[in-house]
Order: sequence, then structure tokens, then C-alpha cells
Amino acid sequence: MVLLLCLGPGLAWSQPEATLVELRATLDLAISEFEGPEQGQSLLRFEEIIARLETERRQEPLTEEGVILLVRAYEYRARVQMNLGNTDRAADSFRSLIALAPQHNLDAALISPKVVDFFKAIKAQMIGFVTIQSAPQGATVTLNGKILSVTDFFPLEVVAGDYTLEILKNGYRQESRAVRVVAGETLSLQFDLVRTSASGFVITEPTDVEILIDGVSKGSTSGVLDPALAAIAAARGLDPARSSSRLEIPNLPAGSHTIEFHKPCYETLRMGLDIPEPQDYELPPIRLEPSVGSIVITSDPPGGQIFIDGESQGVAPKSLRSVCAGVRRVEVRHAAGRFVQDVDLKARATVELAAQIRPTLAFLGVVADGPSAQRSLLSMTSRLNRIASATIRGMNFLKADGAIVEKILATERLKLADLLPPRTHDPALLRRVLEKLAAALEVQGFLAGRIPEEQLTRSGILHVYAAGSVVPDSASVVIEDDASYARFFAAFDKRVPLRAPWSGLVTIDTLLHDGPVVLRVVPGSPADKASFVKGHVVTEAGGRKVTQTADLLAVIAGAEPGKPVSITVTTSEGPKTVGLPLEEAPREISLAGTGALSNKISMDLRQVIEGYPGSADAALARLNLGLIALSLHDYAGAHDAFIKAKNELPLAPGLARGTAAFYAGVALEHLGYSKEALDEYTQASQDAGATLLSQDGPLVQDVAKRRIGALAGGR
Amino acid sequence: MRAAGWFAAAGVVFLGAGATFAQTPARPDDQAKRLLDDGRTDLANGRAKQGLDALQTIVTGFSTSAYADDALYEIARYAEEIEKDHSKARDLYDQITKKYPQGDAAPAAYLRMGRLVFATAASQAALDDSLANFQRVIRLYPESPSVPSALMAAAAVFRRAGRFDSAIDSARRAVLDHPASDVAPEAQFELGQSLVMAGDPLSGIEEFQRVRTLYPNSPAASRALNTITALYRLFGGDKPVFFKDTAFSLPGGDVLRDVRSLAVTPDGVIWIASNKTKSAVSFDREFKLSSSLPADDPQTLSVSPEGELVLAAKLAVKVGVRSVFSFAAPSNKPGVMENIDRIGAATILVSGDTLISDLRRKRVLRFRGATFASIFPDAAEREVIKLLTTPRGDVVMLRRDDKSVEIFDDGGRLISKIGPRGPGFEWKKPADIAIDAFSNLYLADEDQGILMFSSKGSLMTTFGSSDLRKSLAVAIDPSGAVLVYDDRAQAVVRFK
Repeated sequence: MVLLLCLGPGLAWSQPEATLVELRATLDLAISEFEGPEQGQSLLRFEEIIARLETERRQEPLTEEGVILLVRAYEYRARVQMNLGNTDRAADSFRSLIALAPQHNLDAALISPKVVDFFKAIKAQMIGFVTIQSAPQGATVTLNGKILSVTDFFPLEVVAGDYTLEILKNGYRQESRAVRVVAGETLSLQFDLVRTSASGFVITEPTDVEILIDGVSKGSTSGVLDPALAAIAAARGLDPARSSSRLEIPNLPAGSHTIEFHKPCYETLRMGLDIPEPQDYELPPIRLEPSVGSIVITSDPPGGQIFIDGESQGVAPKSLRSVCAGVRRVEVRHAAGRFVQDVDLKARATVELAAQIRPTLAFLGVVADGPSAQRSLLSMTSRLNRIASATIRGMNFLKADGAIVEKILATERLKLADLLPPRTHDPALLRRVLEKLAAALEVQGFLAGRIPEEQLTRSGILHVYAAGSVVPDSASVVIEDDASYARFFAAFDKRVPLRAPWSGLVTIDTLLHDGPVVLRVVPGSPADKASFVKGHVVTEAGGRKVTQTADLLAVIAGAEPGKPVSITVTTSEGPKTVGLPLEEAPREISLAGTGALSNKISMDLRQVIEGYPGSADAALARLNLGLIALSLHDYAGAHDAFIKAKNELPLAPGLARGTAAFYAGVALEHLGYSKEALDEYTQASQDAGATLLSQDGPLVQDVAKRRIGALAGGR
Repeated sequence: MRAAGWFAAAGVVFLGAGATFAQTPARPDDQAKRLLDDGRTDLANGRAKQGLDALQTIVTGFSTSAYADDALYEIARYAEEIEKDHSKARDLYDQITKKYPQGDAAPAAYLRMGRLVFATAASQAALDDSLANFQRVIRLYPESPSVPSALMAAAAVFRRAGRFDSAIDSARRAVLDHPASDVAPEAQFELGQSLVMAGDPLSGIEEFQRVRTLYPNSPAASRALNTITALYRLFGGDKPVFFKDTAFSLPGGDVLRDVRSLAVTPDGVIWIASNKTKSAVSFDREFKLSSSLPADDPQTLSVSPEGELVLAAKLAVKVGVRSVFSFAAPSNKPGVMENIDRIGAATILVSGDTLISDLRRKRVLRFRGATFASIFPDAAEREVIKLLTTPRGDVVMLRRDDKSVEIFDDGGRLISKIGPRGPGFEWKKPADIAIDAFSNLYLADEDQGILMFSSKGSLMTTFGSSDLRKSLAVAIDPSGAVLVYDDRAQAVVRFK
């Protein structure tokens, strides 16, 4: 069975899929009945299908599938009727079929010759033939608005009758004529089309160049160049292998125009185009020059994944040589945070970017604790978002994707309010949820607000969590007072370094001396190498008079590592001035008096850990992360950090393995694991050179032994 | 008792179409909260009666509210701090811990109970009692804000009890685990003290210096400077070194005639007891003449454990700005009390009791307030011309009769006896003694200047023999400098 259908634009309607499925099933059932012993029963089903589809057809054109179903139903109904001896009705069915699909034929190999002949006879009474030629060819022919074919074509079967025939071709006048198709006859027509507008033809290198005429897009070049045109393209300096096929730009009205060739990452080309008369114009082949620059990206920490306008470009450090000119969003993502910057890249220019990876803080929203608080919800939310975006510089700030947050909280049967004080949850659950959120949102921390109910002064509480932390930094803000938010956010820009300039001089203040007295000198330290000894009295440092230890420490803290600081001391043999080169030495972070936030510093520390895995700084960051957790009473988190730090820190004088072991013991003691704590203290006591606080702090060995004694004695 | 939390009053409830409104009664917690706020405000503004009434109303009328423990705690604090009724305060704190053990006032109540016991703890049992209170805070309420204070207080108890390793450990825990707590500077100071007492003065010095470096604006920082100075003088070299401070001088006049005794209070004020002026006269930290206390026939000056001046005159003892006490003890006739009319010296013990040297009976007598308690330490005759209480609570006596110094614990057990002779020394005319913050003993010998002994009685150094012609009185200032009255020169000489 060959089904030839001419489906005009009007057939794009769609019957409900459910209806089609049902009718298809009915048709299959009917056909199986037709093929079986109960053929007579199938007639009712074919009738039903025909009735339903004809009803629909009267309301709107059928889809292609609908037409196919209807044609088959008519054909089978006719065959049933033939078999039942009702040829009149069979003839009606075939006529309906032919009117619907004049080019339809029965499959002579499967259907009885008697039926086929019957069908052909009816069709011969109904069908004429149409053949059209045009100059030029390629014009679209329609009958009563339905597309018949494209010139030139061989005779096509058309139901006899009167039609309006139209011929359309871009750039040519539309021709229209009333025609009559007579059954059994062939209508043959020839049209010489009259040109009304010009066409331009163009080849570009590269392809996919958008063509605009007077600012209006006329399409884009594509394909590959016809080999016959290769010489022409090459003569104009184009690479035929990279050139497009010949694109027609139709309907160019007479007059002067501007033609523009545009492709991202290429220099846009504009030129004038004069169309004096409607004819074809061959435009010269066009070669667009690339418009790219270079971006050289390094990241701190290294290893960040580079994205330009959201597309991955590899891992930093990297030199990207063919980046499209223009404003490009450069993003470097790292487990430690991200870097985002919009770069205005000029063609052939090179931009060097040192991407400082910063932690990202996600704004989770604001929770209102009652109807009264609810009234301030919008105000606080918008202020928080606006002020945080404008004032937080030390971190990236973004609004969290609410759907992701909601989904993750829902999996734990939690709401945002459950994450915020004063509600307290199992710390392990809180930690797990925050870490899930951090991973899903690709952020390192969270900001959220809470408005308590029944406050006389409209105030809210801001909470900041680092991923992995279970105790937030919190601050109260007056909801309508922008400055109160800004004061809190100012703390986000504070960083506390892991290392500080260090001399190795341990001095004390007394009322007996004019300056700090050297109590001891750490062996191997810069001061030791510079021959400072106990009893020296420091009177000047860095060119400033020194009267107490704080003065000396301030000079050292402000000194550049490696650059000598002049220190004047009084010795038993008189005054002596020495240029003391300082070292950068690790130290325990102290947040006291810094105004820094524990959770913000935790994020900074995690950045070092994620960014420089296996490095000495990462180990030191872990130690300090544990200390911050300890200060927040997050003993499980602290223990985890100390154990990892213990495995990474060296066995060396100063802050070392023994330091981490000692603090691991402290965390374990808080968690109630005395025996395990004892083990850690014992390990700590065996690290002879390890210190607490700093390189010249108290010896871990002494402190641990006392803690062992206290634990063993049960105090 | 915050477990239940509290909620504001519900406001108005609409009852029906008849436009009837009803004010919901305030819930008990709300009422208790308001009473507590009122009570605190009244107490802060001097309206004690109203304040205490409001608080008592909570305790009796809302005893199950979330604020009952807070109210009781405020009443107890008032008893302790304003009424100075420590016994009553202890009872109230005890009630809190028993009735509201889960309340948030409980750890603070344990802490304060422990401190009250410790303030007068003169026995091991009392020390253990106070320690138990502190350890309850640490063990039962590990997340309480009172924990750092409890750790520090426990360290002080351990130090007093001579358990220095435990003292160091406890103070270190307070410092390391709670570096941002309010008591961190004092805990750091306590750590230094414990290390010094444990025999590690150099580590102690470093910890005192950390007080200055980490907490430069704390009151402990300036005390640390004095302590470091004293320690460096003692332990900075091979042996303690004292030099005459040539820049030091006190205004002369009658104040420096017939001087009987010297003392320096913890705030650095110098006191001089002169029989010429019949008073004790003070000089401020700039050595300018300041206030004075009249006293007929003044004998000795000492400083109480709480830092108050103790002026012993022939017939009475004056302690700080409190009342003057005269004393009577049993006479030879049963039931007859006899006034003590030849007081030679006096000191206040840690327990608050007073020791009086009765030169007529040649005994040292113990009084609770002004009431005779016992003979101290025993019935043996002693002519004691100076009595001191050490930082550990021990009693030091300078005996004129056998030219010795005896050291007893609070219970009268002899700890050590020094003099009149020993390895490297022989006292000629011992006139006065002083004790520094580390229990080192300084003896003024009229003929030999100053002899310094360790707390264990070994001679550490001597000084001043060439600068002093007749050393009659000695005292130690907070920085460890030694002040000596030279009777021949009628001047106070300072050795720093």
C-alpha cells in the first residue's frame, strides 16, 4: 500500500494523542477482525473511526497521522463493503478516499485484482493530471492554497474540479490563474516568471556568518564550498576548505543598502550594496578576520577550573590564546572557592589575571518567628541581600538557589529555621546538612537571618556558618538601619595570617630595665644566629625606641620577612646594634581582639586546606581550624581537624605533630573519651620540641605530662 | 532554668460576633520574668527592699517557673556582696543547686559557693570542699560560661593545697580552652603563679609576660609587671640581686622617727607605723604623704589575705577601715576574762581569724572576731614580735626570745623553724621579717642588714649591710623591692 499525501501547512494541527492512540487501536482491532472469520463485525469499527475523524476534520484539519488513519479506514471499509457485495457503498468509500488522497493507490500484490480494478475505475472517473513548468524553475505551485509541488514537475494526480492555481518564487511576481482539471485529462501549463527584486549571492570564510541587510538578519552562511567555486574563493584570499556554500540573499529591493557580516569572535564587516535593478548579484567572497585576544590566568591556590562565559577552558595556570574579544565573564572555580571577574578583552590584546580564589558565601534567606516578625521579613531580606552584595569584599556573595536549598532540607525533614539558633539540633546532622548544601551550591559558607517575634525594637539576628561548622557567628542588627548590617559585614574582610614574622627573642618587661629583657633565645632562631643572649636589654627596634615587649613585638609584626630589622640591645659590654633578619613562623590564630569572625576565618582556613593539599600551610590551617572549632565548643569537628593535622604536621620544633596530638586529646576529653585522650597526650608528650601558641610557646611535652597526670589521677 | 523558654503574652483574643474581647491572663513564666526584671532594676537603683520582695515573690509564688533559680541567685548575691552575710549566701546557693540543678543559675551557684568556702579555707577539708564545688561546675555543666572561672578557681585551690601540677593543668585548661573568656587574663596570671610555686619560675615569668602581651589592658597586666620584676630579680641570674635604689626617698619629718613597722599593701601604698606620730601613715605610689591611722603605741603592720592593712597597737588591732578590735582572753581565774594590754603583733589568717601576740603572757592567741578561740599553736611561751600570714595561709612568727622564725600551718602544725643560726648565717639582732609573694622570707637584722631565705629556710642572699646601720623594719612591695627602715639614719631605704 503506497500512500502519497500532499500535506499543506494547514495539516499541522494536532488531534489529541490519546484520541489517535485509541483510534489506532480500534483500527488494528478492526483490521484483525477483517482478516478473520468475523469480517462483517469490522465494518462497524471502520464506520466508527471514519465518523470520528470526519467529525474532527470538519472542525480543524487532521494531522498527518489522522489522515493516514482515515485513508486506511476508508480503504478497509470499501473492501468490507465489496466483500459483502455492497459495491455502491464500496464505491462511495473509495470516492471519499480519493477526494482525501487523490494520489493514493491500492497495493495490487495484496489486494484482490477485482477490488483494485474497481478502485482504478472509480479513480479514473475522478482524477485529472496537472504538470507545470516555469522559467526560472523552483517556483512553488499551490492549488486552492495547498502546496502541490515545485516546478518543474511531472503530471500529478488531482481530483477533477475547478481550482485557483498560484505560482510563487522569491524575487518574482506571484502568478495566479483559475484552472479546471478534467477527469482523465492532463492540464499542462508554462509560466515565464517576472522578476521583481534582486538576489545577492555570497561565500564567506568561515561559515556560519550572519548576514544583515540594513540591520535585518537575512540568514547565515553554511555548508561547504562547491569545488567549482574554489578558484574564485582562493583568488579573493579565502581558504576554500573553510569557506561556506554560496548563500542566496533573496528579495533585495532596488536601492542602496548596508550589508553586514557578523560572527562572534570575528571582526564584523560592513559594506555598501547598490541594487540598481532586480537581478542576481554575485558579491565578492568575504573573509572575516578573527577578533580574539589572550587571557593568561593563574590562580591562588592553583588548580582552579577556568570558565569563560560559563564554558570550561581547563585548569589554571593556563594561557588561553583565542578568547573572543568583548566583555567576557572569567570564572575560576576551586573547591576552596571561586574567582569571578568581567574582563573587557580587546582584539589581539593579552590580559593577565591573577585569580585570587575567595570563599563564597550563600545567602539562604530570612526566617520570621511569628506574624509580627513576618511584617519585617521583606525589608530585612532585601536589605541583607543589598548591603551584603555591596559591602562584602573578602568573599564572593550570592543568593542561594532556593530550590536546591529546599530540596536538601526536605531530604532531612528540616526547614531553614531549624538550622538557626536558638533551635539546636544534633551537631552531626547540622554538619551533614551544611556540607550537603555547600557541595550542591558550590559555596563555602552561608548567611541567614532570623527575626524574633515580639521585639519592641525591630531587630533581627544574622547568622554565618562555614561549611563544616556547627556553631554560627551571630550578630544583632536593627532591621531598618543599614549601618548595623555593614558593621557586621566589615568583619568579613578581616583575614588572620597563619604565619608571622618571628625573631626567636623571648623578652619580658620589668621595672628594673629601660627596655624588655631577653629571657631566652630560641635555639636555631634568627636571634640565636645573631648571637643575642639572655640578659640583653632591647632599647631600640626598627629605629624606634622600645620600652616594653609590646613595642618590640609591634616592630617585628610590621617587618618584612627576610629584610633585616635593626635591634639595639644593651649588653654587659655596652650597646650593640644588630640587623636581625626575621623568619616567617607559624602560630596559632588568636581571634581575641581582632574583630574577626570564627566562621569566616574557618572558611579562609578551608581555602588553604583545599587549595594547597599536602602543604605545610594546609597542615597548619587544619591545626587552626581545630582550634577555632574548639573555641566554638565543636569538639567533634575540632578532633577531626586535629587528627588530620597530626598526620600532616612534621615532627619538628615549634607547632608540630605533638601540638596537634595535644589538642586532639583536649577535644577527646571534652567529648568524654578519657582513655583516647590519654593516648593522644602520651603521643604529644613524646614530641620533645613541639610547642603551643607559637614557635616559642610553652613546650607541649610539659603541658601534656601534666594533663596525663591529671587524667590518671582523676583529679 | 531556660529549658522551657518563654513567650510573650498572647494579646487579645476575639471571642465572637458580639464584639467581646478578653485579655488572656499572663502566663506564670511571663509574670515571673517581669518580676525578675523589676527586682533587678530595683536592686540596681538602690531600692533593695522592693527588689528583694519582688525576687522573693518569684521564689515563693512562682517556684516552678523558669526564673525561680535566677531570683534565688540574685537574692544570694545580694546576701554575699551587699549584706556580707556569707553564711546566708552559701545556704541560698546551696538551695539553688539542690532545687534547680538543671537551671542555668546552678553552675554559677556552685562557683560562688566554692569561692566562699575557699576564701576562708584554712584546712584541707575546706579546700576539698571548695574544690568539689568547682569541679561540679566543670564536670556537670561543661558548656556553662562558669567553666573558665571554675577552672581558674580550681587552680588556685590546687596551688594553695600544694598540688602544683594540678594547679598548672587546671589554669592551663582555662587559658587554652577558653582564651576569649573574661577570666582568661586572671587564669593566665594564675598559671604563672602555679608554675613559680611548682619550682619553675622561668616558665612562670613567660606566662606572666603573656598576661601582658595577650591582655595588655587587663588589671592583671600591671600586676604581672610587678610579679615579673620580682621574679626576674630572684631568678634572672645565678642568685637574687638587690641594689640600693638611690633615687628612692620618702619625705622625712616625724613620720620617720621611732618607726616600729613598715608594710606595703597590694595596691603599692607604703605604710609606716611611727610611735613618734602615734599613727600609721601612708605614702601613695608616687611616694607622696597620704592618709593616716592614729594608733597609740603602734607595734606592727601586716597585710591581711584580702589585702587590708592590719595595724597592731599595744591595746588594739585595726583591720583596714573596719572597726578597731580589743581583745580579752581567759585569766588564771576560771571564768574571768582579762584584757590583753601588751599586744606585740597581729595577723589575719585565711580563715578570717586573728592571731595576736600577747607579750605579757608570752603567748600567741587566736580570736574569731574579738572572741578568744585558742592558744596558738600550743601553750609554750613565745615572745613574738611579728606575725605574718603567707600566700599559702601559713603563719610566720618572729620570736624575740629565741631569735628564731617559726612557720606553722593554719592548724598550728610546725612546718619549719629558721634561725638563729644555720649554714652561712647567724642572726645577731633580728628585728623584723617580711614575706614576698613567693613565700621567701626577708629578715631585718639590726646589725646585718637583710638576710633572704627561701620558703624552705635556706639562705639565698644577704644585702644592705653596707647601706644600713640599724635595720629595724622591713617590707616588700608588689614588685618585690625591699623597703627597710634604718633607725640610725631615720630613713626608709629601698632595694630593687
